[in-house]
Amino acid sequence: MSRSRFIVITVCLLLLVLLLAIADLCLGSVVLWSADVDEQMFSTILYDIRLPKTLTCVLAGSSLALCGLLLQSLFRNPLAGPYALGVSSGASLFVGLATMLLAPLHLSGVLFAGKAMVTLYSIAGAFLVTIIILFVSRRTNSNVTVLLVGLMLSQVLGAAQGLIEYLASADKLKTFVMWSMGSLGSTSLEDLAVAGPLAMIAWLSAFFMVKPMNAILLNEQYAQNLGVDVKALRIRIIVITSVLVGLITAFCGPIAFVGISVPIASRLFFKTSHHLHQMVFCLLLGAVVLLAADLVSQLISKQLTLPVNTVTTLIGSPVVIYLLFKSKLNIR
Amino acid sequence: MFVAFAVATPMIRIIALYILAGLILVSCGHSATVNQNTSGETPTGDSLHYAKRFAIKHQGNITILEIFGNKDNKDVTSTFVLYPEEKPAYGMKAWYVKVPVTRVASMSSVYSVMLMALGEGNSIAAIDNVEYYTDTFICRKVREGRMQELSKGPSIEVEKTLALKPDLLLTFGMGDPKSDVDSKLIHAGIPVAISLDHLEETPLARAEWIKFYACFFGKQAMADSIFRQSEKAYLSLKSSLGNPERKPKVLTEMKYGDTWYVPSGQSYIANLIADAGGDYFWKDDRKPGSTPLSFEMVYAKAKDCDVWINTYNLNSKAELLAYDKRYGLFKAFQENRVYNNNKVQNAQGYSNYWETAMLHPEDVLSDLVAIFYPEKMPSHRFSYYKKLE
Repeated sequence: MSRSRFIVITVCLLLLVLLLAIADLCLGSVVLWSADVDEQMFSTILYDIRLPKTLTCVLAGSSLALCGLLLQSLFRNPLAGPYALGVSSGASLFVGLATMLLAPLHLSGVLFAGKAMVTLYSIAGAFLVTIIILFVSRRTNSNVTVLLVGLMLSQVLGAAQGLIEYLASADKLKTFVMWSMGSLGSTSLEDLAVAGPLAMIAWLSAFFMVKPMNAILLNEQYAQNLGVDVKALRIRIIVITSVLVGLITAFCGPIAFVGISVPIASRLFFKTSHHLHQMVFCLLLGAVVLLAADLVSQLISKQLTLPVNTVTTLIGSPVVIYLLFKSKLNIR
Repeated sequence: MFVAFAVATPMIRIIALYILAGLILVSCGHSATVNQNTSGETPTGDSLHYAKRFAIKHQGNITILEIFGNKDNKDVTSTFVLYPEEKPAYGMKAWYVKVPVTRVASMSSVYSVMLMALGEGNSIAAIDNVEYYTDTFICRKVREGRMQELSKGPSIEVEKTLALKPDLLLTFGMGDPKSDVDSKLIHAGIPVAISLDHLEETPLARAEWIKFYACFFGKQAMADSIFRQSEKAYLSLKSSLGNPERKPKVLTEMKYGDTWYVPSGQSYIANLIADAGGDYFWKDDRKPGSTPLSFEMVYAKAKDCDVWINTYNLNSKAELLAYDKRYGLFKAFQENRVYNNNKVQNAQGYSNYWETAMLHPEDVLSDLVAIFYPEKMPSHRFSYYKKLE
């Protein structure tokens, strides 16, 4: 991809993110410019309720799309993604453990044992699953096997979570179900002040891996010949994806679809496999997808916000299927 | 029709007879009226003043209970014929139960408390899950193995229930009679009373259900007396409030995920708030059940709430903020007027509100009056509510 085309696409995507973010801030269940809304209410709804949600859409969408890209490159398979490989399930299971079984060990009676604790559990769960997947990938040359193991792992973790849910008291189960529905609207600006910089450090770290990532996309042996420390690269990818998936899952609940489909859509749209380009496009396209999903959920129902997973999957999946068929199922 | 029957072939006649027999059987089904008895007497009904989800009728020494277990209409979904001596030879399809019953499986702490108020604690052979109880009598009996738990998980343990073979199983439904109970229990012949008491719209209606349970023990007079006492205290407190000039504006519940389920203006809690002299924000919402709203919709309408009640299982304002910092935007939060109905909790954090409050609406009402008008009841001792500090 030429430099000028990259810049044009990036600027266009940036403008789209900006446009959708403004629309997301302006549209909601309450009409901000009506006579019933006084100055104080206007300010509260805009800055305390809508702005954190819009920023969360950008942060979560971008982070999950980037994770998907990194995992798809690591496993050299477009089916890899935080959800398909069980990374999100690992984060969910550990949050389930924290909220349903281990909650009494922390602050008794607190719904969540504090967001910091939940974030740590979530990152630990994501990290553990990614390590297992990586271990399996070292034992086999078949990407299909790795993906199948990921899918199986996802099922096992889901079943373990189901078991914990079954054994949990109704009270704690309700708490967990509330979290697992996925929510973009529960984060505050203070939460974002913690999660935002952490995520951005992870994004920046990913940009330092552009060259070796381009090399391993061809072949690991080839990358090693070029002087890439593949083992170290793997560990860095695992750490980055675990932190990002754990962070987003802890704050927003498990969000499906974005991690796997945005990198696929980005490749199909922009016809490039260069990681600098793909990382930028995935970050922006991920934000576009979640902002659009949030907007659609506002437009579908004027009174409430639909669960984010429902909207992203219902609207996004047909789009990706269409793109796949249009490109004759050929993903680079 | 008879001419057609006479000229029909033998096969068609047989089929027609089967259809006729089927129609007769269907007409004798669950929806049959209580007049289908052999005595020919017309049953007399007990006058229930508030409850709308069941009916009591008497015919000599026989009591007939009807449950309206469908949330969408008032159809009779199950009938109980309670007899103290000889089983009556009624033609209708019903549960025929010899009373008093002595082994009851009570699948909700609300029913267990009502049975204990009737002095029938020892008739409870099994409960749902002891973790939901604060009552020491029940907890002790379960601990000593003299009372079974039939529902440690989300569903009832069918085999254990069949082995127990209770005289009666009391449970609640969601208003869909076909799926509200495991059909294996019905097929095993266990009389199952599926109540929709939680859908009653007023506190006194829920309390009046004690009359329903009393029929199984022949203790209607005792139930009447217990209910009258509650009713008297409730109505007296309600009328003592008069019509206050400025009613406190009341917000309830908290959000679930991104959605705040707001109880309608006809709900139990809305009526309770109105009776306690509160001004509920959604009092004019006539839809049944709850309305799902976004956080900003609730904020726009209720940001100036004077009082906020029923905040799930939270114990402090810090917990409320840990859940979502924006809860601090509500006036009641800023003015330290957030109350929750979990003053007394067991080790698992379950409140006694879900056990005894339905039987004693007068205590709940007096708590709410003391919250809404603290000057009227300065020395009130709260039964269920506590201020979140």
